[in-house]
This record gives sequence, C-alpha cells and structure tokens, in this order.
Amino acid sequence: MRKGTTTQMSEHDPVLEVTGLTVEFPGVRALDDVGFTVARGEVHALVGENGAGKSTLLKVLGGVNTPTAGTVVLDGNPYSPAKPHDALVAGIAVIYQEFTLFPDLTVAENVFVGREPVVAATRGIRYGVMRDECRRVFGMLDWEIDPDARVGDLSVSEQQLVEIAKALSVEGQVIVMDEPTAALSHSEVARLLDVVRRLRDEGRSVIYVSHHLEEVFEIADRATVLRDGKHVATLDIASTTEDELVRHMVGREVSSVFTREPGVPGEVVLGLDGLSAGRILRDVSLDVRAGEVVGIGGVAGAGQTELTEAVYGALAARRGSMTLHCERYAPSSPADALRAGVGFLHEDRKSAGNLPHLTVAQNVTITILDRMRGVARLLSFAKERETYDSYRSRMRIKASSPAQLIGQLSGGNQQKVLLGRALAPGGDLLVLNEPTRGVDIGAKAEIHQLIGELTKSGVAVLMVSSDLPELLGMSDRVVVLSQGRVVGRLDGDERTEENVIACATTGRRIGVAA
Amino acid sequence: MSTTTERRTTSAPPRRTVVDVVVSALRSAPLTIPLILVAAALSFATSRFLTLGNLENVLVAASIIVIPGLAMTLCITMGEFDLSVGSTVALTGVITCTVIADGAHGLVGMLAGLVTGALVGVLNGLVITRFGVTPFIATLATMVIVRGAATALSGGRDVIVNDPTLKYMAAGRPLGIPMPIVLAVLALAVMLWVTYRTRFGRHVAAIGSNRDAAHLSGLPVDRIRLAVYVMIGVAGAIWGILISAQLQKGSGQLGLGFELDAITIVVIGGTSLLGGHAAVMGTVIGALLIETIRNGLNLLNVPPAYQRISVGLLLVAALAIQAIRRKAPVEVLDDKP
Repeated sequence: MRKGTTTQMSEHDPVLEVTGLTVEFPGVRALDDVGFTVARGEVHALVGENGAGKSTLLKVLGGVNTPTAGTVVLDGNPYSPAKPHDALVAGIAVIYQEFTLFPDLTVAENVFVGREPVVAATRGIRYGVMRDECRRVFGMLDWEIDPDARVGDLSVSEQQLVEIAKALSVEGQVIVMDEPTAALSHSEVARLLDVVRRLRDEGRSVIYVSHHLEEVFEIADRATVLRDGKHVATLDIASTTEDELVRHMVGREVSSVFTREPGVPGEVVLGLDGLSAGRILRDVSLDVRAGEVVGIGGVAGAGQTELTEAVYGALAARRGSMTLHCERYAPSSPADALRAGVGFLHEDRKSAGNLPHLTVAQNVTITILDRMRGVARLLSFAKERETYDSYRSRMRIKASSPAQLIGQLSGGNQQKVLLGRALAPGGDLLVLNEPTRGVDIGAKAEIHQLIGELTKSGVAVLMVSSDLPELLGMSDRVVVLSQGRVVGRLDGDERTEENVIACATTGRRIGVAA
Repeated sequence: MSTTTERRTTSAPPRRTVVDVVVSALRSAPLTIPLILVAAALSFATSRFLTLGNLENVLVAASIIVIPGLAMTLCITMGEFDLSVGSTVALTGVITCTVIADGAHGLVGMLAGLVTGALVGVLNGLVITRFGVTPFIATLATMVIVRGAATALSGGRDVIVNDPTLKYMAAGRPLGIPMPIVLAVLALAVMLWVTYRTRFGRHVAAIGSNRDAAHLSGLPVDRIRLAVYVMIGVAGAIWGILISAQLQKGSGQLGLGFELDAITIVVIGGTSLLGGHAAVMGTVIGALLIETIRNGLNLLNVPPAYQRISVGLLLVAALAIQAIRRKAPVEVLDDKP
C-alpha cells in the first residue's frame, strides 16, 4: 500500500528538489545537470558506479562542495549551504562513510558537538539536558546505550547509530546516508534497515547511497541512477528489477572502451593461497602469470587495497601464503618486496606516492639509489639523469627538466613518474592500484599502452581498477572482490560490465563456489 | 641572494659539480642580504665591529653553533626536531670534565663526551621509533632527563679543569685558524656531502617529504631516523666539548636554551619545519646572522635580555615568512615538453 502512494507523494509533497545541478572541478565535471526529487517520507536510493558522482552530490547537500550551477529547493525554500553547519541548521543531516565522530568524547558530547546547550550565565555545558535528549533519541531508535559511554569504545555499528542519533537530534528533515552498511555485519544491517524504515514512517526522508542493490530493493521506494556525473533514470523500485537497474548503471558507449591485445601467459609469477590480511581481506587465492594482466574489481573498499599492500609487504598477511616464482614469498616490508622484484603503485598518488620536495628525477630513482652511486659511493647526478631520461622517453613524461619538482606536473605526468619508480627496480611483477585514477584521457591511453608493452615483454601485472572499461579492456582475467572475498572469476566472454557489477553488488557468484 | 648567483644556476650545466651544489645551496639561503645589511649597519654604528679581532669572535661563535645546527638541519629536513640538544651540551661537558678531572687524558675525556652524546641520540631515536612517541614529546622528556643527569653527576657544582688538550679545542690555532672554525668547515663539508651526495641524505629528504611514500619506496625509515638522532647527539656533544673547552669547566647549567638557538638558525636559514627541503648553506648564513646580531648588540651594550628577545623575534619572523610562502600559489608549469 505504501509503495503505491510513493509516486503520488513525490509529486504532491516534495521535500527536496534538485534541478540542473552541476559541479565542476579543475578539468573534471563531477556532476552534470543532475535533477531529481525526494518526497516527504520517502527512502530514495542513489546508485551508480564508482565515480558516478554520488559522493559529490552528497557533499553539495552537506554544504561541503559548492555547485557551479543548478538549484536545490528544500521544503519550498532555496537551499544553498555555504558550510556543513548550514546544512544541519536547514535540516539536512549527512552521514558520511567516513564517520565524523570524536572517539575520545562521550556519546552525548558527540551528538551535541558544536551546539552544546549551555547555562546562560556561566557558559557551562548542561550535561543533564544532553543526556535526556540522547535518551529520547535513542528511544526512537530502540537502542539502549549510556550517553556517557566513550564513542571510541563502541562497535562500528553503534558508532553508526550515534551518527544517526546526531541526525535525528537536529530534527533533520532529510537524512543522507553514504554507504551506511559498508562496515556492518549481517545482523547489524538488518537493524539499520529497521531504523531507516522507522525514520520514514515518522515522515522523514532518507537518501540512501549504496552499492548493495539487495539493500536498495529491500528498503528504497525509488532509486535514482547516476552515471559519469549525469542523471540516467529515476525508477520506482516496485516496478523494476535488479537487471534493469544494473543496465542503467552500466550503459556505456563502446567507443571509450580500451582493449589490450591478450598476451600468451607464461609461467606463474605470483601465487596467492588463502591469503587473509588487514581487517577485510579473507581467503583470497589467485595466480598471476608472466605476460598477463589480472584485474581486480569490486566496489570501493572491498579489499583491493589490502590485497595490493599485502603482496607488496606493506600489510602483514594474517593467514595463507604467497609464492613468487614458485618459491615461498613472505615480505615483511616494502623493502623485501622491492628486493624480490615487485614494483608497486599506490592508489593515492598524493598521500603515498609523490615526494613533493624532490625533483622528478629523484622521484624516479628513490628506490634504486644504490645503483646511482659513482665515484667514492657518492650519488652520481649524471647517472640519475641518465636513468630518468630513459624513463622519461619510455613513459613520455612531460617535464621541463629533470630538476622540476614533481608537484608541478599534471596528474597524468605525476602518475607516469611514479610508474617509472615502480618499474625502476626492474622486477617482473607489477602491482598497480588504480593506475589511471585522476589522469587525463591522453595520459590514460599512454599508461594503458605502456602496460601492454610491459606484459609483452613478460612482466606479470596485478591491477586494481574501479574503472570498469579499463578493468575489462586491460585484463586477461578479472577477479571480483566483495567484502574482502573473491566472489567472481571472470574469464573470456564472462568479462562483462554486467557480470562485474552483479558480482560486486548483488551477491551473485561467477566461477566461485558459493 | 646576489644576481650573479641567480644567473649561474638558471643556466646550470647538465653535470652538477661540487661548485653547483654550493651555488644552489647558496640560492636557498635568502638570508645573505640581511646578513650583509646588518654587518654594514653595525660597521657604521660602532667602530669596534669591523676589526679583525671582532670578526674572528663572530666567526668562532658562529662556528660553534653551526655544528649542531647542521645536524639539526638534517633532522628538520626529516620533518622532526630535537629539543634535547641543549641538555646534551651540559651532560657532555660534565662528563668530559669529570673524566679529565679524574686524571684521564683530554682526548679520553672528549671521547667519553662524544659517546655520551651518541647515547643520548640512541635513546631519543629508540623512544621515537620503537614506541612511536612524537619527537617533540620524546626529546622534551630527554631534555629534562639529560639535564637532570648532568646536574646529578656534577653534584650541582662546576667541574673545573685545566687541560691543555681540551683548551686546544677552543683556543688552538692550527695553521693560524681558530680550532672551532676548522671544525665547523669540516662539519660543513661533511654535511654538504651527506645531505646532497649520499643515499642517506636523499632518504632523509624523502622521509621529510612524504614518510608514507618513503616507506612504500622501501626505505628503512626507522633506521634512518635513529641515525639522524645519533648524529644530533654527537653534534651536541661536540658543542658541549667546545663550550667546556672555552670555559674550562663542565656544569649542569651549561647550554640552557641552546636547543632553540640551534633550531632558530636552521629555520631562518630556510629549511622548512615541515620537512623535505634542506638548506645547508642557509643554516651557515643563519648562524652568521644570529652571531653577528648578538655581537653587535653586545658592542652596543644592549643587555642580554634584549638579545634574547631579538633572537626570538627573528625566529617568529622566519616562521611567518615560511608560512606566507606556503600560502603563495604554487606555480604549476605547463605540460609542454
């Protein structure tokens, strides 16, 4: 009965109307003319691939990003928050995937942070008022928790509830949840969905962002699909299917798809057997052979980064084993991995790649300085320059001189410099995490071509990519991870966007025993 | 930063020679001009400034402070700093003088002092790398511990010596050049070599630039950090030996506030407190500038309290200039080949 009335509600009682919303960053249009409406008392799902623009949209609603064009109307009033506080005051509470809680403060202090009730005369905080309000809100959530508990002592799902309590306490009309179940166990997910239903029944609206389509079908009234920053469709969940939703999420033009000539795989270079590492990666087994690219797909945070870091020795394996050239391989540090001939590219160029105060040449040679020494073991600038020059021409790095600082290059050229660093040790296994993230199309094509050349020369590549055309176009085989486990092994014709998305988001398994 | 310097570096030949290294280091020392201005002003203000004897005093004072300053440059390039170096001065002074007072040869006393400094460095380095204590807190604690140890060892009294070997460190003149100046020139040569021409120096800059990236590039980050703290410890010991040599005594009260002097000359010399960029020649100029100002204020009979204020103001100004420079838009060059 409820679902039948949703469409009507959206027409008659919209609480949030987004029209023509455009957000541009230097060189990127993150959102392009997006429009949709959220009704009062509706759970509205927002779905799309990584990079479709969901996060940007949330940040506009939350007052973090300012739109280049377009309007948002909240409850009939124009809404243009200049800072996150404005959003709260207007009644939009955004619960980001990365919590904004202070672990050393209590539950009550967190719920009231920035708007603590005070005694007028002394400016002292009225803890009693805070506790009472917390109990009231927690009552609504059917949750018993001591308002004086330290947030850092709570479980992740309880912390999520604190975030929700915060949203309820500010009388949020619209509550936006970004991947709220990403860190939750199965039973915790059920509880969270209960809370969402209760919020809806109270007449609040929830914008629910999720990669997990099962949840979307369980909880949402309607779903808006974004792709490449554009609005694709808004569908009534009652009258659609998972397949249709996936089709809308994919629907890419074939022209942008890159294909690498499949190589002739040689001997196994890297073997993983039941590898578990970090908080999420569980029981992953796979092989990478000489001359092939094995692609790792999945939604963000499914364990891809942990996988690459474990292979590179930056994250300790908890269980399972690895082999390199059929010999036991257990790197305890990146230095071990480098010695064993493993090259590595981190997904986050800025925080874990660039050495911003060093020149482009120094950025390339940092891992191989022992080979850059000349007379009396002094660093030979001539050797460094020679080495850099060879990588510059090979990677087509465009820099004004070897002495230019890396931060002054474009993103694509920075990436090529870091790829040069990964290649410099001259190993035969490359671990690449998002090799073309934040890189312009030209540089992307060049990097793809380079990976093609490397595999032809017998290098084995393990590549993580959230860019589906890249993942499918570059990889000989694709392994899909979901919540740290292998859920899909796609070979040959099975390597389709639909299959990757289905494995990553719907719990379907391909090529893997359930 | 003279214009000729600029011109020579912009058309730098592809092969960098030692001269180029010095020139580019000089370029990163924009203090040269204030130094010249201060010196010129003092020459006018007092006839006693521009005399050979006085200039030698300035050079000796700058030489004594530049030795720990050079080690501090490496530490700050790494994005960290060491507050315990002033206390190391006191402890090495006390130990050197006590060993000598007990009848040992002056060289043995100095060796004991150097070992002490190295041990302080090991202590700092281990606390910081093994337990993950931030350098600020760890070296603050060591600063207190080490000074306490110096006072305890000396029983709160001056340890007075009269040792020709120790005296030679301060007053000796090999080839007619005061010993501290000889030591400082040696230290400068070593530090230029270490910072710009060794793998170790490059690793230090990489760690200061982006520690995560340095770790992921396979650098032995903790070992390098430990080594830098040991270097500072040894440099602090040399400082302590030189001061004790000048005074012919050791005392728990020596070197009070010296850590700030060492940090100040590095920062006004242009090494960023955030790390990543070493201005070795800048530290030298910084030492000269500070000691010139101190000397001038002395000659002008300004009380010591005001000298301290002026050094403090200089540090604030240097930090403000660094902060402003960071905010200035970074010029992103075109991608044209």
